[in-house]
Amino acid sequence: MSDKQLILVVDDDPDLVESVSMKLESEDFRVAKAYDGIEAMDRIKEERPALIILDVMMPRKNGYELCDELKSSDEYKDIVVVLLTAVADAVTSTSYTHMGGKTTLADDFIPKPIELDKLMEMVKDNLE
Amino acid sequence: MQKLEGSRVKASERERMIDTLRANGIKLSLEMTLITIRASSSESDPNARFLKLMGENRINLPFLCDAARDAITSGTYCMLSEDIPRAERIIAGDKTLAPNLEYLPSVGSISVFPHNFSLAFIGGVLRLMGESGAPLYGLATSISALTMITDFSRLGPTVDYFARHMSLPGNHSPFSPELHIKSM
Repeated sequence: MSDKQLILVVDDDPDLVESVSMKLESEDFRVAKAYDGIEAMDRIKEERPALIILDVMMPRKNGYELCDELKSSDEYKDIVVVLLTAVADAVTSTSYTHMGGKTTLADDFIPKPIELDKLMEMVKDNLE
Repeated sequence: MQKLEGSRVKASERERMIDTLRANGIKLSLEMTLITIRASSSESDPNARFLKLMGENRINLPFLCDAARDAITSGTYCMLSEDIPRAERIIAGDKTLAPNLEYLPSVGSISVFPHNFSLAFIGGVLRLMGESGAPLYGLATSISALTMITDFSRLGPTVDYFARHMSLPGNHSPFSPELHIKSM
């Protein structure tokens, strides 16, 4: 088993998943990929990543729902979640109130379009 | 050389080919219109003017392919069909651009990903596209996906054929978009 840390990248845009994955691999991380919240949960159960880079707007199960599910689970609440959000101009913290007033608490967030170097810095900081 | 022809392919060989065509996902677009712009290189480039106008008016182009051969440049673009009336009004204001445009309505894209930079994968997907009988109006690769443009009415049958002949994850994301983000 490799001792490289595993990062799960979740976004419904395959090009974003690929570009972020390539950057992570170049920084010596292992990468798993998923394209919506349901696939992501499958990967989490199979491989238990150290950190998840999670898009908010996705089909079937969105990033808020998945983040809620993880953070309310004893088994998965310690996995670091970094949200990717396209509405970050209006977001100033990792706590989001959404759908029916529910609040999600992620560990960090980064606005789209992503600056890859900034994202790598954020990933490393959160894994320290 | 072994000849591989449709149903005469041995089961074991078919298994190997399916295995070769392992993908993580297939995505279909909404209904779009294909716009082709051809021009001689001596003209002021209508492709550049078209792109500038679309950018200034925040009209999204989900597919873009540029080509040049000898003295002829050719741009192929797809635009959501719902954006066409607005785009036509904008283009009509540029008297030299409008005559250079050809429209093909009701097309859609099929994107298969990831291609992992494999020519064998791309060739295999194109073989399936040919076997499905769908016409191919445009082809492009991005960092992850291979995207093909065909008739919108053929998207369903084509993706069914792909799904039968490719190895996809059991819990595959929806083929068609559930979200549509529009710039206002």
